[in-house]
Amino acid sequence: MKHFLSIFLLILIAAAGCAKSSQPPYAEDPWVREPPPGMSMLAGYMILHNPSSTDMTLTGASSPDFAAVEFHNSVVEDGVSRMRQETSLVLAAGEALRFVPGGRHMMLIAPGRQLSEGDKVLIELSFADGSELHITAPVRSSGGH
Amino acid sequence: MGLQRILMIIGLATLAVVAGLWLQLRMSAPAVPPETNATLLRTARPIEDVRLQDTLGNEFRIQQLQGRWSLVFFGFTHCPDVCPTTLTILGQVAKGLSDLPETRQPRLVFVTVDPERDVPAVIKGYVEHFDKNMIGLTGELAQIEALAAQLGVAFQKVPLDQGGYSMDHSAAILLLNPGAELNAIISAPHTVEGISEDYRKIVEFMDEQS
Repeated sequence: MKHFLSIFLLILIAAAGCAKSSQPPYAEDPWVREPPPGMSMLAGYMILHNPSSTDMTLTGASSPDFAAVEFHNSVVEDGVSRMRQETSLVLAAGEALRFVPGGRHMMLIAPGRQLSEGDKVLIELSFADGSELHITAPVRSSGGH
Repeated sequence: MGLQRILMIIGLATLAVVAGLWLQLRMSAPAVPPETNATLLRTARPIEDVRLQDTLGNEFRIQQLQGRWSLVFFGFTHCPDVCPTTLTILGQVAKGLSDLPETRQPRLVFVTVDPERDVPAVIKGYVEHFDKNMIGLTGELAQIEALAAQLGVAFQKVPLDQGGYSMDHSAAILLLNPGAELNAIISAPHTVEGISEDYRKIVEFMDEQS
């Protein structure tokens, strides 16, 4: 009987592992760089996780605190730093997209107010499947906690 | 004389010549430059003077940088990611090097590649946000181009789909010696530790040389 129970448990665990997991995406350590006074372009960073077993496509973002939010990637080609807009981003199943200083970032355009360290901004990410992820990002002078 | 003996004499003679050359090279060779991530120029490159404007709108000649080491970065204030990231790093580098004698501490210099939008008053608030002593420079485009070209810095205006424009620009930080000559090029990616270490090594090495 004891034997039977442990086999049953094993099957249950295996089944749970196989089932399509539909956990929603989440943002780890989102933050916005504190802008110098009067600046109209800010950058936001985070690690965006997709713990589900389905690929997701990030199609846009908006924020009540900014006129517009775009995705950009800073790349260095032949020593020259270039910024390229990305209109959609695939967030592979079980993986994460890193938005980091000097790399991929959210470009936050025309803030509605002067933002300084300690303020919080709301960013709404939208996905191709119609789902949304609302993020609250603190304004900080630099990365790390 | 046997062949073996002739070969041995030739061998020994060659060895003696090689050893002699090696010794001579070794004795006349300059001190070995430190190992750095930055590209250290064998001979510092002098810079022809250009006339720019400081954050108060006063004329600033690049030769005014003489007397101290300078870390120079070209960027623009409408740049949301790379410029603030680099300038934040430079601010932290300056803080970390504050144990050095004042004459050995670096000046931080920001030169805009977008003088159209970056007028002195705009740059003033911008640079002071990262370091209260950072020098911010703008000026006529031709003068900025003349300086950039001498330092190997490239930049270009890029129109954006939705209107307006962005600037592509070299990501490197330039190290000028106290003679206001280009002494090293610090390529991206940049870290506080990497730049600080290279800076200490280079300044120490150049001090030993002089």
